[in-house]
Amino acid sequence: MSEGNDVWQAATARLFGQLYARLWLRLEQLLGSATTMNIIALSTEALQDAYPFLSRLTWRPQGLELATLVQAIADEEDPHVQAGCERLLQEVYVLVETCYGQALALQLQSEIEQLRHACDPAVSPSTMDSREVTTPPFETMEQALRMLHSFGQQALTLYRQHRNTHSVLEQAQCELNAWRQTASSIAITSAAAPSTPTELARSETFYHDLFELSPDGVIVTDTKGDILQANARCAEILELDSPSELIGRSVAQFLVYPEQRDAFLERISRSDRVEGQRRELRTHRGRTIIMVFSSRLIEYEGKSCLLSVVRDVTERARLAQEMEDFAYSASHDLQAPLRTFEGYARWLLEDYGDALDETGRQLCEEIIDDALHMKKLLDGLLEYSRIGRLHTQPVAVQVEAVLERVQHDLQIEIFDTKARITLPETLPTVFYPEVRLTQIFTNLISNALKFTAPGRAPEIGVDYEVLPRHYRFPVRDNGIGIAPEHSERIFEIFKRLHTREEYPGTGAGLTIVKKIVESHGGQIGVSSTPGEGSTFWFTIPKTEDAS
Amino acid sequence: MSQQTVLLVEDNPRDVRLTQRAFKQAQLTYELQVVRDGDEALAYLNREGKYQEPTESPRPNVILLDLNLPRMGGHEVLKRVKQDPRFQYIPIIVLTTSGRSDDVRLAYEHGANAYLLKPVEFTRFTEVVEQLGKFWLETVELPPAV
Repeated sequence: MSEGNDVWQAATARLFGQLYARLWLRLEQLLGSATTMNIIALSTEALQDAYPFLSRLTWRPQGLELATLVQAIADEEDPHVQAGCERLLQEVYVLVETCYGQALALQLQSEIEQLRHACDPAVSPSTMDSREVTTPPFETMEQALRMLHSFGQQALTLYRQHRNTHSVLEQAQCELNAWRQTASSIAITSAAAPSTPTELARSETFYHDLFELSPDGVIVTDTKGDILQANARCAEILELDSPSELIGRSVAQFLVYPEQRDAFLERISRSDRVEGQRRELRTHRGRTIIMVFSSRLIEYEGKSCLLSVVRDVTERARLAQEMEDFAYSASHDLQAPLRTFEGYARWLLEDYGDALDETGRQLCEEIIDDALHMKKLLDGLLEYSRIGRLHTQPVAVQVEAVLERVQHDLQIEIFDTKARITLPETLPTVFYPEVRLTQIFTNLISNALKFTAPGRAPEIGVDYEVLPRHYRFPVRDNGIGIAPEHSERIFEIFKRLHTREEYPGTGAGLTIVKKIVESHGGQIGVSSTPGEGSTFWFTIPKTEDAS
Repeated sequence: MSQQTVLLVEDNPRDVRLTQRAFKQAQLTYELQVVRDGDEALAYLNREGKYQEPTESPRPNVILLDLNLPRMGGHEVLKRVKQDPRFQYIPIIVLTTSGRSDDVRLAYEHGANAYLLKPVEFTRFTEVVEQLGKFWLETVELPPAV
């Protein structure tokens, strides 16, 4: 990556980081720290939801301009992403509104000006710190919005300045790195440069509160895993009385599988950040707990260190396990009476068929038919409960090989329907449990083969797109399509849009696919035009982080 | 050769009826002895209580064992029979609705000779019973019942 891009990345990160930090500070003054933390959490979620959208936005000429952002969001096809964007946008408005008319608005605005200034790589670093107020304060809401608008245009100008010298993808990544910074981690780095002594005191108190009140564990370690700093929640998770008992100890002491640490350190040294990791820990008192954490490399007291946020998910994992065990046992126990229904109805037909009239025999046939259908429903439930129960290990999988096997498995259906399936020239290698990826594609392709329009041979296209952090696989068909009002319902278990006579099946398939995709850090959705066809898509994280 | 005996350990009377019918349909003419739980199974093998008469309760050549039994579960029955030097040679075939991998592994660990799933569809169940009879009662050589 060239120097210009580095400057761009640093400037944008700084801009957003400081802007956010100021806004949080102001909010904290107005609302108190507990409410502010809720908003930070919401904002982080909204940013993550908006992420796929933002990644595509950078490819468009309008860049980050705020007014066109609204239009672009309105044009967004994926409802989930759209909702995330709208929340994000809503937040920007709320924040501006909250600040408007307040004493801090002046300061905020001057800082944004400075940040805009700092964002321009042509300006030398020394001028960044000359905090001159060059524009008057906000008088109206419109002014505040105009302010943000021009800020957006400034970012756009910068974007255009650099687009000729770097690949679009690299730029997209840089921009997104900035957008994606979670509020809390940005706050920590940008708190280093407050403008007045009182504010310094304020921001230190604020971040100290944030650190101590956090419902998640926050921990700083050196690059060998020795603990330098930890908050109270961290000690609580590990069943220690005080965080001071953690300082100086090695994280490895608490890992049930200490060898996982080396691979983790190796990866974070490559990518600076690792997210959504799951580990089993042994607490001070010897209890095994499950936690997820995200880490990133930071500068701490002049050294390169690891900042991690740790969440205890033991209880959540236990409840999920209980639910799955219940579904598993229930589906088993329900099979026993089914065997009787099916067996006895057949028995009646075989040995007493002559004693029954036509209606009587028909009723027996229908009992058998329904018993077998219920067996399929139970199999679906069983399969659904197994996704969480059986932990399948992610491995490097060639998507092309998976699709070849799926086509082989479905060859009878493909032959019968005279379907044509087209694949792109190249397909990536992903890190995923192979059997699960096979299940996803088998389900989506067999649906495309099943829900065909009369008199039209299925044409199915599988493709892929590279997003900043995910691969996205669309599976397109020319089938009967789905009305928009049903696009959520089809993912619910046993929900069907057609009778069994029209299209056979149980309605469990897409639910299973959705659970697989989501439990491996991806998303799934559909866009469709009734009568013309549907495109189901799902995403897979590029690294093994989310698995 | 004396008639071969199969001991069916099954608590659900409807499953018992279906198994008897499947034996009949598969034309397996073996004597099917039925006990309803683990305690009865052990009493049968030990010739205790109502199973004292050898002609009425002959030694089984093969045991068909359901896992989901009241009180003493199928795994426990399996373990006890396989640990008893007098009975450990008797082939035990687990016949169950549970496809749970833990159940399968545990059953083989305790010495089960085969693990079969009961299909819901009766015609397929008959096929399973037929294959089972053809193999365990007609194909393999079994030690004589003591």
